[in-house]
Amino acid sequence: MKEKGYYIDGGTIVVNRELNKLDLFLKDFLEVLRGRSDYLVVSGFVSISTGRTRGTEDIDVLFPVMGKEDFGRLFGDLIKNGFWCYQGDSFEEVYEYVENMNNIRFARVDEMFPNIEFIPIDETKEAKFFEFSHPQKIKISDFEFKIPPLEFEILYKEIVLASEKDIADAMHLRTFFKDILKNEKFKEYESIVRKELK
Amino acid sequence: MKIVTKPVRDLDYVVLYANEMYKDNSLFDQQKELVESQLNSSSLLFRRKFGKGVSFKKKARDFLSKIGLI
Repeated sequence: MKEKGYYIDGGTIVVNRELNKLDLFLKDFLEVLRGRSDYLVVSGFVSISTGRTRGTEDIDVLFPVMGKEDFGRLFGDLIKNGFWCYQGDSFEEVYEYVENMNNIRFARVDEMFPNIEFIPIDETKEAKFFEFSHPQKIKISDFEFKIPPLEFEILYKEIVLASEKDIADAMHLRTFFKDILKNEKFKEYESIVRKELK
Repeated sequence: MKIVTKPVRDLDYVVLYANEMYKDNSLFDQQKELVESQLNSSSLLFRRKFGKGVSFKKKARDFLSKIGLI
């Protein structure tokens, strides 16, 4: 008997599928991160984790910019748990990227891809900070994590990113989640998303 | 899978697949195969290219620098 691709359980989107290797990579990363920082998983992985069938090399994760000592502890935990950082082996050198609000990347030891593109944000990045502050819970098997509101993610891909790949990702989300998307949320979020263009 | 309208553009296939996946979660099995196949191929390629351990990181960073990713 056919089962639907997803259902809603108390406000959480439950995607009705098994975990794959890409999910497990993110799950391992978030298990380390959760002890040290809040986060939001954004962009391509939102579409792929809900069924968009395409390859990817990175998973984008937003995190609130943190002080050097906190970052040092997180960096140490990630290294202990089998990750390496593209930008450097010491937290001091990598922290320079973070404090300048530049993205950094982590992959598993002896692997290039997939990697986590780790994106520092603060309140000056208005659109990103908005989605970060309005998370949607999603669950795949026993793995629960946070993504932006679907309507926000769709608009961000259509208006800000807008590549062929992003338009297709947005179309996937519009189609797959057609029963739960809300017009009033599209209207509410559009002006916030457009601020990212300025 | 019953196809009602013949897809023409790439986006038509995205819509078709998302509609079918919404109705039938067994299509996630195909998606899993595709996603894992890409990861396995990529892993094999870069292990062969860069080796392991310290050598891997050094060669990987040289490569990343050349393609402008770091």
